[in-house]
Amino acid sequence: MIAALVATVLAAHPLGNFSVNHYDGLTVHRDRIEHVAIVDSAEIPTLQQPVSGPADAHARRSCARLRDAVRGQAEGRPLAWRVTETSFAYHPGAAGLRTSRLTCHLTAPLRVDRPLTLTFANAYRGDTVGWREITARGEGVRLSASSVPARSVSGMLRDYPADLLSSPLDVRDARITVEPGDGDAGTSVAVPGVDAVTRYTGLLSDRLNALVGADRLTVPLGLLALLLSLLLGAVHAAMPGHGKTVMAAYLAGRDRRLRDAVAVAATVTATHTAGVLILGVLITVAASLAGEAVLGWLGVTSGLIITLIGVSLLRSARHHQPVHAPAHGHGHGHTHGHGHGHTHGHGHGHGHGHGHGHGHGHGHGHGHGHGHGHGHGHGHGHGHGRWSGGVVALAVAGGLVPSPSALVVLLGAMALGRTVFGVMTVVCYGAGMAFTLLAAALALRRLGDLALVGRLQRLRPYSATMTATLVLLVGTGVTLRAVSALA
Amino acid sequence: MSRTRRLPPLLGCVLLGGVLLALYAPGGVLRRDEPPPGPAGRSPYDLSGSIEDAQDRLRHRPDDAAIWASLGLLYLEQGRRTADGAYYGKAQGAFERSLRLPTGDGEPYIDAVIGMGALANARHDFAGAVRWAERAREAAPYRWPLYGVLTDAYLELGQYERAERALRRMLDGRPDLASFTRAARLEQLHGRTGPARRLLLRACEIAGAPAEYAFCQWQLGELSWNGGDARGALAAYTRALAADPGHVPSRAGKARAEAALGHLDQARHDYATVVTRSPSSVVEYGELLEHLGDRAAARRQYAVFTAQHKLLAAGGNADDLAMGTYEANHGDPEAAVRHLRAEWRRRRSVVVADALGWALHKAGRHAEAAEYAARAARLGGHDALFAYHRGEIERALGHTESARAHLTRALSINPHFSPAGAARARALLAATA
Amino acid sequence: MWAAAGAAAVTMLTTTVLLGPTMRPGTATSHWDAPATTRDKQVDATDLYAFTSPERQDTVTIVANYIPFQAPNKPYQFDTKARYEVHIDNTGTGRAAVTYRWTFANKGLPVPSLVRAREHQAGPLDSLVEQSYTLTRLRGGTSETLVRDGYVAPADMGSLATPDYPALRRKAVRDLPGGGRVFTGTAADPFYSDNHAVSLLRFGLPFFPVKSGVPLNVSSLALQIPKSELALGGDRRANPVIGVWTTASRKSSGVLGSGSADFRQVSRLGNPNFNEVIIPLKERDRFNTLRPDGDESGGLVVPSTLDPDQAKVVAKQAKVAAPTAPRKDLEEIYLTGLTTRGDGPINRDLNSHLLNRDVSRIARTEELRLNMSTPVAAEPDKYGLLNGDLQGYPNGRRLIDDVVTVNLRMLLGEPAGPGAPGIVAEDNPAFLLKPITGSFPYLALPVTAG
Repeated sequence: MIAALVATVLAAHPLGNFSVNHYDGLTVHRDRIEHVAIVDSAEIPTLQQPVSGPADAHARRSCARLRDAVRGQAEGRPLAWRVTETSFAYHPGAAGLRTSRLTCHLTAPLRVDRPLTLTFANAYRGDTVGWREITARGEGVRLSASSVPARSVSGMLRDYPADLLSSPLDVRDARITVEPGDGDAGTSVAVPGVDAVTRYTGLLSDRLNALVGADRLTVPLGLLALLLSLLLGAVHAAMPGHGKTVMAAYLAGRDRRLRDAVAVAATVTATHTAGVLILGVLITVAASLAGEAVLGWLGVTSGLIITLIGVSLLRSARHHQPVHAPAHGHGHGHTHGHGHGHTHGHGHGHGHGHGHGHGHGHGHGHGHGHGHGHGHGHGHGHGHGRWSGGVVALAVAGGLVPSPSALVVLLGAMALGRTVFGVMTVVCYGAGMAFTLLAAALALRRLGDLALVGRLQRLRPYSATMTATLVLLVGTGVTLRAVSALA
Repeated sequence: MSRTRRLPPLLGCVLLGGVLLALYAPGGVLRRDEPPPGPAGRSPYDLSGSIEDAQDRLRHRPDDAAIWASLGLLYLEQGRRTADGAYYGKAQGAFERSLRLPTGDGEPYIDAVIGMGALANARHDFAGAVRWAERAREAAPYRWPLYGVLTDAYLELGQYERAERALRRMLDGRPDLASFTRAARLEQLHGRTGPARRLLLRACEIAGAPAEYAFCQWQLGELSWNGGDARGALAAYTRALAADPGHVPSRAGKARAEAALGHLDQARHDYATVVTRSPSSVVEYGELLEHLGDRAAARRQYAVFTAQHKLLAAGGNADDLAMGTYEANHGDPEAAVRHLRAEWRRRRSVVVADALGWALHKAGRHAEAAEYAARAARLGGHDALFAYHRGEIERALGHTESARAHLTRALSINPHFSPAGAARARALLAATA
Repeated sequence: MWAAAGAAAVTMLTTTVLLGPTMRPGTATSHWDAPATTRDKQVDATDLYAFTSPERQDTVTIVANYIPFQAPNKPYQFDTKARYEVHIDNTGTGRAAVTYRWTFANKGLPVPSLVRAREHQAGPLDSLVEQSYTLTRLRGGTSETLVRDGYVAPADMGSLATPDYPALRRKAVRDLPGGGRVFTGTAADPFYSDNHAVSLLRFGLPFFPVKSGVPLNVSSLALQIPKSELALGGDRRANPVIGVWTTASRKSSGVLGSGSADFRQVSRLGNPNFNEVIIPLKERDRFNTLRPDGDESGGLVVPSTLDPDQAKVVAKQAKVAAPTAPRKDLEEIYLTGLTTRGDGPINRDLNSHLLNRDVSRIARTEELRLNMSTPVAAEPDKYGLLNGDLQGYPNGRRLIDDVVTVNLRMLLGEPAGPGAPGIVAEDNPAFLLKPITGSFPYLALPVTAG
């Protein structure tokens, strides 16, 4: 009876002669992902999009546009699609009109040497009415999970089922998990490039999340969670970040003064805690906020502040004869800052976003915060009073970008109705950061008292200018990268 | 010194606050990707989800006439919302299936009968809609939706007294959005814009779903537009689109109002969006493009219209009113007269009378044209286009004074009624001044 | 949830906007039409409850729920041009001896959109407008205002828009002159049902475009009234039986300068599911316009009850034999109340107005009848009367009663005949989606999405 009911009737276009129908077939190989995109346009859209010039040139142009509209990501990293083959053809339609069919073959490199999560979406001509279908299968790799089927029910847009009890497909995105191996369980390989600290931090924050979300929150459990967040904050402040070099260089150019160090540590902590809390509250209240985009914007702000400070430093360095500063601060800071700038999005983003199963996009923003904080630890300057403002502004810039892991913990606690506890966790997190910063500052102060500084005193006259330039460079870099992450 | 030392952190906090505010302020660009978690799943009125549920039930209970009828209504609504005529076929299939199945009282399931009437209206078979609705009225005179079908059909057929009777029955039985909006339309046809607006505002107050609210706001927009208030119309269309971003008629109205207000880039953008969703506004868009001097682009839009009507005619659904109106303005006036005479034989609404009068005028038969133009004005409605047409016809007949009066009236009702028409009306008035 | 109630049937059943603006290709201006049927939730009476208050047994609690299927965290308002009424008949004539009437007004400006999620900003129904209400008691030809500028509990919109929600709930509970209490506003919908019972009972009934089994909210009008205020002659011991129903009436409009703009009754609800299950589909809209005192002679309610079409449909689906018409048992259950003094087949004195000392003749009218002298059950049974719990439905209706199953079983012949008692497994998992509370208004706080 049911079979009779869903007896399939084949129809030309299930959505009428005004539809643009899409099929995306994904095939994941060991070393690449292939994508066959078919766009089947009914009579009217075919008429509306006239082909100028030869059909193959039109196909190439259209496929290039399609490629730009396709969003594919492996573990949060965009896939680089390349068009390999294109074709475009007309077919006779109703009332003497024509329909058209565009076929694009795309490929993107991908190494499936460990389980990967792939996301895919095709926004090409996304505002038109039409059938939308995505399929995914593996060749030489195994799909352990997939939100889309392996086979096309429309025969790749040739036979649309059109019975009364089926609705046209409207699948616009897919999420699949692939593993190495063909049918047998994938062998997980240790991931090179993710350093131990990142991995252990991820584990730690997972643990913290689990604690905060525990069904029953006992006192020892709560204390353990707070301790963990303290530890996490400390580790975060110690993690490599581009911003810290700015701070290091900056503070290196000043007289060593513990007071400044404390001020900076406190400011970073306070700004960071406040930032996390405000962001958390806002995200909870308004569902239309994009945490990731906010973090991105905060990254831009932070970068701009650093740049501004760099500019003003440079200006003042021209006017004042600088105080002493060790040259090693420059060299170190410079290379480190840049090197980090590139890898940052990956290393950090992965560590945190992944650990919490929360927005992978958090990655780009948060590094700033720790970076600056850490950098401050170098603070062995007793700067002029008028520079203290700059130090604090740097610290604000450093703490401005809330750490996603702290944010996730806070949101998790709020969702469970444990807002107060979440806030305590975040404060502890900040305290942990401050602790590391101060410890680093003290250590450097000791170091600075040793011979190292004295030997480098020859470079003293240039240090202020170099520091300022460095700050400026890093600030520009941070801003640019944050902006590009936004786009 | 301590003061300068405290200032930066303060500034920092202010800055942070400013940044956050800018990002989070309403209308800000930021959106959270994940939907808020919750046990509710989808919205309880999700149309496509409801269709899935109904389909699912029918797979288990294929002989439930009621669910088949409901599915037909859901398909009908889906067709309306997505501007996709293919759903009408599905709706018909579901209704027919329901009508064949046994019910408790052994008679056809009443909602399927009413649904067939609504479907007939959607397909411009107004006489058929009357037949279905009358059949429903005989079986179930208290089933209010049938009066909506009946009112709509009679209004399109030009049988205004019958429409009014059906509507009064509806208002007495169940005052609701369906009856208030129809009452507003009847008031508007009679030129009573004040009561029409009050009724529409009342309908907007009790709209139960975003799509219904969008419908009311769209109607308010049309009312403002027809009264010459392009700004008010734009605001109403925008409200409609805020409630239901996919509401195509509101998008088209917005484009029209933007063009009138001189926001041509936005108007083009909105029209372009509309014509990818539905061909309903291609001629209007083409006329704007032509008025702006882009003849090639205009011709492309007209080609879409022609193709669409070729397809309709091939499917046996020729729309003589639309074809005739198009031919009168952009094609062969004799063909226009043929189409519109055929339409006039089927229905004698003021809209058809106006279109036929205009086509006759274009074909050079001014005296006959004047008769139909007078019929178009018989309800006393305030329609700038009708007045303009009448002015042109009077002018062709040599009645300069009367022509001036009608043209002046057209411009006073709605100075933007059509890009080319309004310009021409002004030119004619200036020339005869 | 579908079975929420009679009046819901009408508007929900045809469910859909029959037709809105046509988008027929190629014709932008040649055709206009409006929705034929709409989701007119604002005046949908979805459920009615009436029971002796368990912790204040000298009072009766009556809850009339409107505006069904409210999504969590979304605001819904009452219609400001409508009357929402709860009627009490203590003579068995179908005429209201006491009527409580709510009317609503909007107060102030909507809550700023800053604290609102984007999808909540659509229509006026979706803006969080504070409403106030006036509660009037109509009795013996006079009207008396009991509450002016009453506070309507809004939907729970999160901690910024509606901070400290429990306090808002408390604020919305008010004392009435004479010892009663009132609550007006949003609450978690207490309705629940058994899936199997629903699918049987609703066979052949229109489909709701609503996912059932999802916790949703509802707008409640709840009263707790001293029994003596409701009983005939003020004597709750001698005249303990009352009949309850709720109606909503909306102001209409004339057209073209003529016609009446009076209030029209658009919703009526007494016994749960009565309109859907007993009244034929074709007459359901009409039932909503009728008053109980016309039931006896109206030619609709009595014959429909004596021979309901739906009984045959359901029996066929359930593959059991339906009792033969005329269904005097259903007449007794829904139209007269259970008594040994009539000619009904259910031989039990329970909730007929004939049990009132000062009543000698009654009319057959559809009302939810409650005997206020039935003692509160120590262990309430969700199948009420059918499982021997005399305080349960159809003797009034408690929040925990599984009325869909009870109605289904009564339609198939219980308690007058053997019926089909096992048709719904008694250990089924149907349960209240959110537990009710121990004190007035007993309704759980609104469901939230968070």
